[in-house]
Amino acid sequence: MKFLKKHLFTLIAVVTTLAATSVASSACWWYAYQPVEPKCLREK
Amino acid sequence: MEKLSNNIANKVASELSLDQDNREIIAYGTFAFIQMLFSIILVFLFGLLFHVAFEALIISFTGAILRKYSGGVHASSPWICNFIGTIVCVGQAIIISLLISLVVNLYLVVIPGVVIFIWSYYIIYKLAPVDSASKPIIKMEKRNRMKKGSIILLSVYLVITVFLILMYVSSGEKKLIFYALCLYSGILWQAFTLTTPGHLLVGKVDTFLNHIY
Repeated sequence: MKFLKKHLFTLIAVVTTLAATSVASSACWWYAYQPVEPKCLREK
Repeated sequence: MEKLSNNIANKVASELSLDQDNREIIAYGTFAFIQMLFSIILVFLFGLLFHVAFEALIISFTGAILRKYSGGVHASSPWICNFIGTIVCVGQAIIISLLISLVVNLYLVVIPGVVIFIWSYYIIYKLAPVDSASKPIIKMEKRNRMKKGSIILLSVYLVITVFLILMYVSSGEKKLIFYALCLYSGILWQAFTLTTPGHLLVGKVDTFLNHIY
């Protein structure tokens, strides 16, 4: 159970990180609301 | 929505012992994921209510994909964004559906199409990408890449539209005209959100909705 839980959280982390980097490389996300981009994803 | 994303990110980060930067990235990605899913579901459900679900989704996806490159005006909260997005997509699909039931001919598609594409190319060339304070685009290199991406995507839409019109000419299937007009609507709305009148209109709706909420 603990093994499965850890894998599930890892999967969530991977998918959401991919989504975040995809948003970071575009002008904005989906429709008309843009949350504040994390500093570590902002271009220097 | 932001609270839910933060809760999920906190849980994932604590279980996997991740640092603050990774936690913020997961919260940002989760929010993006939830907001996209929520807006698609809303457009689909309201579209279903008016028998224009597929057409409303075409408008939504056309605008949203172009928006990833061109940017545009932003609402002050996710629910206002979803409200405006749903009204615009389903509303335009209903109007097109009524128009199609009244009159269908080639001129109805070709003439507005020429006007919409010329105007959109001009607006995107001149204004894209339109960024926001939450996600500024500083580097010139990225701005040029986004502009180029917008123009390429608009050209892909043009090819799809021409293909749909040619298919209509050869088969006479009314639905193809409907789909072409949905593409026009998505492009038109998205290009409009880049302009000053677009900013003013969305700003006024945003203020009004914030006031009544």
